[in-house]
Amino acid sequence: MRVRIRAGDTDAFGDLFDEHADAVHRHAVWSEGDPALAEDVVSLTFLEAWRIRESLYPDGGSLRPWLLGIATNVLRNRRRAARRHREALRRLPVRDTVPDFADEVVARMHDADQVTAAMAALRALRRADREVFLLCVWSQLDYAAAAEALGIPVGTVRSRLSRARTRLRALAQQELGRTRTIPVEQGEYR
Amino acid sequence: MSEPTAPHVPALPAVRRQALRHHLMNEFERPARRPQRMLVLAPAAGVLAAAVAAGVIAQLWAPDSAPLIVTVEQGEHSGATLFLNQMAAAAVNKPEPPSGEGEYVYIKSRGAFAELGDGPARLQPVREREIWIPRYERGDGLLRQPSFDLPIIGVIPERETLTDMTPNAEVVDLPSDPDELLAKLYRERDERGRGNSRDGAAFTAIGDILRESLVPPQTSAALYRATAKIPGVEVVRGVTDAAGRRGVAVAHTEGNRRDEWIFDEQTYEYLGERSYLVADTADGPAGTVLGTTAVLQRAVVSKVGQRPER
Repeated sequence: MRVRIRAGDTDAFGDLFDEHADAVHRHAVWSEGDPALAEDVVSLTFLEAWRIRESLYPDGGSLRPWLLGIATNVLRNRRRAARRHREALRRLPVRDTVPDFADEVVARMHDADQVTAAMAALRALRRADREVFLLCVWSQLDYAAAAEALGIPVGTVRSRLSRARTRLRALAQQELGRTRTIPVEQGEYR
Repeated sequence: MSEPTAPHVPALPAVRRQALRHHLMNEFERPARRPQRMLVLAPAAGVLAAAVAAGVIAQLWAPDSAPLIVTVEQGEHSGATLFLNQMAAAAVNKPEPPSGEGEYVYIKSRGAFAELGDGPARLQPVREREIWIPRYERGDGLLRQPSFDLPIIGVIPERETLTDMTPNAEVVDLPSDPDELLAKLYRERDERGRGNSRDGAAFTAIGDILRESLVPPQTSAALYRATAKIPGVEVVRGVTDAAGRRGVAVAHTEGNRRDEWIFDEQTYEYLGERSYLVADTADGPAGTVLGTTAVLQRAVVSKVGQRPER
């Protein structure tokens, strides 16, 4: 597979898309909290993958870490990626405006709220820590794969993840404490 | 709960997923416009000296230090129609490109790109670029440029095989009637339904064809006449390409940015491109150059990777 990807085999890229597009999409929604932007990130990730295909190592396992690493880079600097592929993005088909069924819309709104709430917690993290958290915990890459995706040593992945978790725990406790101690009289925190 | 669990994300709807996949597949098979990031033309030292002497550079350009800023000249619209029609008339009398001999179109150019995104646009060093495009049959081509390392992307290889390229013959297979040609370009833009204005998209599409292909005289004429019909197209005089050659530019402004194709004023030969800001923006003040290129050689060769005799 890696050899075919490196050689620019479009069928191989088709398979790559089929296998990983949803994972890239989820990762983008988690990072962005916006499904419309996430779609652009999916396209940009695969366009970038195509562009840099020859830099892919010929040996190795699943290509998911590689793709999620590219997605992370795209998310870090979306404007730059969008400029690089602006011609291609212009040709991107418009989203359908066919209305969703009502219950599906409700389900989506609920999902969006959930993403927003989780993102609010994640926003309190440093970007580097958040990236590691998203890759390791939500996208379920192991430490070595996350290290590959981000191009950093495994030790750094561990320490960032540990920092992210400590911070999230502290936030969760703060949140818990706040709801318990907020008196009925508004504005008085104890 | 000590950490937020992964929220459920609604999957990409199947139809949309297919549309994205289809779009990607088309892009992968679109070699003529491949990794052409915006060509940023950074003049080489000698060129720069010439340009400074000519007074077009308001601020010295040096790698990784300052942006290149040019004077934003007033364009003229009526002159553009005249100039383009003169070019079309002259093109018809030019000899056809050699037929038979040679299966590949070879184009050598030079250009510099501005990296955009964080503060004012800065030009990267000038790089030469050689491309081999299949002439008649869809197939593999080749791109050679110095290997370079991009911050986020990694190393761009020196030799890159371009697979399944649209052959030159197909790229230049266009209606010879300028109105039909323009209608086709507008139609293609409307089908995409986003991005540039219609006129901007048509200008860009023609620019893409002129940049890296071998265009038969009749088709050149049609392209120039079609360009003359695009509202907002202007002519800008006294423009310098990335090889320091002066010429006349055919220009179109979209938003804050003007794109120019530069032609020799006497022979009407295509020299290169330039694009720059026409207003002050986060990417820099008016006149900040975003890209500059020069086409140095167009030829037909028999093998991929082979350079012409001279």
